[in-house]
Amino acid sequence: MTQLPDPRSLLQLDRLIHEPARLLILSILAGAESAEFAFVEHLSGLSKGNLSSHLSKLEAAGLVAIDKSFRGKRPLTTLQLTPAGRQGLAQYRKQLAAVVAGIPDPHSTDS
Amino acid sequence: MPQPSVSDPYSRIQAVTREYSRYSRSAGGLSAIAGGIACLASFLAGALLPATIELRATLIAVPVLWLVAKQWLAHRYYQRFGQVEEQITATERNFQRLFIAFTALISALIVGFVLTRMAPMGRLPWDLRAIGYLMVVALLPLIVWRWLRTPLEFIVGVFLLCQAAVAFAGQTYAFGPTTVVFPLAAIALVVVGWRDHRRFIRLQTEMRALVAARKPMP
Repeated sequence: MTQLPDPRSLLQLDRLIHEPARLLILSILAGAESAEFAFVEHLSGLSKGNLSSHLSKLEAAGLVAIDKSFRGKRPLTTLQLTPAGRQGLAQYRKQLAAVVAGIPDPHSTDS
Repeated sequence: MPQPSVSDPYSRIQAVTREYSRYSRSAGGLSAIAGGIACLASFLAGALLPATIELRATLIAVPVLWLVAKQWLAHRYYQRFGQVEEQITATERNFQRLFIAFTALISALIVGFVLTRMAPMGRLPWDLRAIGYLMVVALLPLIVWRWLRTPLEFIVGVFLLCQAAVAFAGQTYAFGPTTVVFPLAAIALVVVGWRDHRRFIRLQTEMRALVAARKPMP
């Protein structure tokens, strides 16, 4: 028996992670133990202000840890995905895959 | 034809970060090449040349120079896009713990043996040569913990340090069936380093293309 797609599955996605820029930040951080702010800025293409704003939201949600220190006289901001962030991203990925699997292919000729 | 998943670009960017962090630690393979060459040179010089004071001083300096160069390359030259620390997998962590435990055990046994049997290379335990030897042996686990992550790095690094330790005592390693593993590991490390370096150059090109192709995000 074919199961009908549940429209609520899309609503269950974590909106905080679903935002493209934040998803990009989390994806970058998921590939490392920690990364310098400049690296994430460079790879994401986000401006400093936008990146800071998104990071504040992710930090407030406990998904990212931000450490501010100095390397010599230069300020150094190090970003790290928390265990909750890693788990949240994995959960999001699983949910999104389930949603995508339920969307019909418009080019398919199967009836 | 397999359809791309919506998460593919994000997975790729995660993979790029992972590769970048891995190559940054090994300075894009250059520190491995330098370690391999240093190991080969140290072994051949120790085995073929007379153990003069100049040669012994050089053999003692080689591991220090390698570790300093390794650190400098990783932080100043190869992390141009920003510093990224590598995520260690559970297997790598277990291997490293094994290396550290093994080195710590051997180090403790050697230091204990030398101290209880009155520094065999000098009349007194505070003989400068004995102190140098013991210091290098005692530092081994610390250096393994901080700098030597892969099996090849471990073999090469430990050899360079052991060569430095015995150089303090006026000796060097000679050719033999047990020491042949060191030049072989050195050659293997150079090959691995060269392969990593080529991959790192490709990764840098990909990163530049990735950044250049992206429109600024809101």
